Amino acid sequence: MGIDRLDESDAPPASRDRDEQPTVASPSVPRDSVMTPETRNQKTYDAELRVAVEAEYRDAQRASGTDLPTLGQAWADREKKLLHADADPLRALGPAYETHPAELEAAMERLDGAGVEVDMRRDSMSYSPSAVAGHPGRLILDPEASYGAVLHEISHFSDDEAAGFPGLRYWLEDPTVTAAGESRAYQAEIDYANSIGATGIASQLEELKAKRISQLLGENDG
Amino acid sequence: MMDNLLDPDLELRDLNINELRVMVSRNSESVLRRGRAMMELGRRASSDTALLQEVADMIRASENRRLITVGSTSVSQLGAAGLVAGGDERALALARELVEEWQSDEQSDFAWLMRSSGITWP
Repeated sequence: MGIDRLDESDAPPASRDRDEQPTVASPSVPRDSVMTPETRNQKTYDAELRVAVEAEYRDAQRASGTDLPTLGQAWADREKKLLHADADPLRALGPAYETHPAELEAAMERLDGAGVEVDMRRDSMSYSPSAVAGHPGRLILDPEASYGAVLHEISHFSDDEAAGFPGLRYWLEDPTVTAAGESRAYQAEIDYANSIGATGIASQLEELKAKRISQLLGENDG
Repeated sequence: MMDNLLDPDLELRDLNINELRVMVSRNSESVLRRGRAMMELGRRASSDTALLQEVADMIRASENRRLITVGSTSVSQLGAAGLVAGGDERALALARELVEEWQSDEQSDFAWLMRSSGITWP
């Protein structure tokens, strides 16, 4: 077991401050405090982010009041295999290896240290607990996953770790426990989206969260 | 004692086959319980050959292949795991046949599920 690292062709580009960034990944940390301290690059990044957020807002405006899907929804329809809820809407703002390289690396190191098997696979994201108690699970991650999606899956890993890696049966047995974990995972993404002003994406994530929790609890079960 | 997914599901053992069928197919049921019921039907098919074909059809159903319980584990994968857990040779052969029909990612996910439960697969 171990981390299936990106090969050279898929490797993230050299980050602006790969070694200088804090290694604590937190959705509540303001973007300015975790991105590069180099002013020039920060300005470029901020400009790119602003363009992406504005594009996302225009997309939502375009689709509102019509039957048209947002571009994010259309993307979700196309990418059927994203397991955590058929979508990674924050990807519109860039993959984690570009926006949060240090946090991504810290997350990978944490998973590696815990013995989690990591499978880099396009269009899929999930954390699966082991079938046997006492062992860490497996993380499937799209190489282009957003930082928000990484936060989501790491949240599932953290829950499994905190519970002592109780095995898949444990997570199948009590829908309320699993739904609470799903709620935390989505909330990590939503908090991050709100922290960077991507409120439209945060709303999309809220909808996905509600849909998934309903699926976990049963539609007539709360 | 290690808790293994393939161990008997004590909570469902008193349900009859019809109750399990209903649980698997009920849209308003928790997807987690639907998966567990599917697995229990797979397990029982080892000792009820009349059930094998019906379980195969349920595992093949695209809805059950798409329906995710936890992580990458679908309802269909749990059904196939139930066939393996039952221990009968015919059920095991059916599980292999069904998994071979799946897409490579599904096969990979199921193989990991089996490996992590201590089963050599395929």
